[in-house]
Amino acid sequence: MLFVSELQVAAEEKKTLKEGQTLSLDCVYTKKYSYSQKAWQRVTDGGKVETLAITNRTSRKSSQEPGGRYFLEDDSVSSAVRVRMTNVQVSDSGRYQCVIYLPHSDPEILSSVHLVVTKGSSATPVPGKTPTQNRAQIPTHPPTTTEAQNKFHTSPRIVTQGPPKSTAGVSPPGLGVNPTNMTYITRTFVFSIVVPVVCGLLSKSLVFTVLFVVTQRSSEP
Amino acid sequence: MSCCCSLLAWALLTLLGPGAARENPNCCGPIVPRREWGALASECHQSLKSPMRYVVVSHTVGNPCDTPASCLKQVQNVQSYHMRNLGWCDVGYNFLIGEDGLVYEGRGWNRQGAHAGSAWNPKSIGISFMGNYMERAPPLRALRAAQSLLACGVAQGALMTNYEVKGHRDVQDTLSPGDQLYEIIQTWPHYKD
Repeated sequence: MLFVSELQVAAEEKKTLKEGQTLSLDCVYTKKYSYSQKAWQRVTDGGKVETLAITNRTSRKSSQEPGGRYFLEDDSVSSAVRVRMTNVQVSDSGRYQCVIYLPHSDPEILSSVHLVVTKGSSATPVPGKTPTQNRAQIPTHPPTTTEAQNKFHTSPRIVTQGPPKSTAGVSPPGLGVNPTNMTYITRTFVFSIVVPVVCGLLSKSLVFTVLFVVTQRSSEP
Repeated sequence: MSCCCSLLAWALLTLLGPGAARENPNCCGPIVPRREWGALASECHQSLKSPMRYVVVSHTVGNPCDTPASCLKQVQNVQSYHMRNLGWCDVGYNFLIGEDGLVYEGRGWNRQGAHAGSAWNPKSIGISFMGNYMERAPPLRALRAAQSLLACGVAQGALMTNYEVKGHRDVQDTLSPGDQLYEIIQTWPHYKD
């Protein structure tokens, strides 16, 4: 149980970007932290924490050195820290966290992000958007990932729309499909489509077989 | 022979049972669905990821209602105000709680609500108690309905097992959910300020 809840905290959010793109995210906080300093930190595999940017008490923004890539803005009206990391590189891949910077104790983690930056230039937006996905900021995500997350849609439309799109022309011509994206699409396809269908078929045929045997037996004199 | 048949029937039910439970939301505690309260069609398209980490509790500051009939009318009123007066795509909350002890489906678990500001809306489920709870508390049956709804959310995987409850005033500059209700939710096990 503890292991599960740790997973839910640690693997909070995963963002996949191409080199050169900008990471944009909001870290929400409650009003009690309105006047606290917030920081953006990188966490290494060894657990070491490096503070990349910290908000200024008065300006509510992180100070900017020339060529700096980290921008923090504390929006206390919306009760969130807006984080931006420009021109991401493959070497930026890793774990990051948004924290409340407390003077005399361990920082309070607001949210953590697992960033994956892939090689290749940023692409033009992916065509064929589904109605549920009108966020233009994340064009490289294939539609199937959002569909797979929407487990509560009862409409069968969603299920049948997914797989064809993933294999037919989602990526614009000239942009090779990344092998990791392909295995992710295949894995999503297998787990969210094929497995339920096969299980359904198997259970239904078992039920019919049993019913058939029962009726045969009861019809015997 | 009949004993053999009943055994087979029981085996069939066991096979079909889990599937039925997943499709049947009634095993979760009653939620009055949109169709039943006469909802106008939603025009919202922003979906919510699941599971969600945060739940924001607010009050409508509107009239309370303590019967299924009057609460049905009241939910319609809230939706009408949000859509016609404020120009929103649907009633703002994901779920509404009536003093009749019933939960009313708003935008539901899958659609982003409009209840806690631009930063918190995409990251939370908004539930609102119908009424004004500055000087009086909601009845116990309404509080039970809300707790049951949240337990249901966890069971369905719409809420994380370690989800956090926030008062509306914890995330926006407002008196909502009212002093009395705010005091109550601060005692809830999942509340974290």
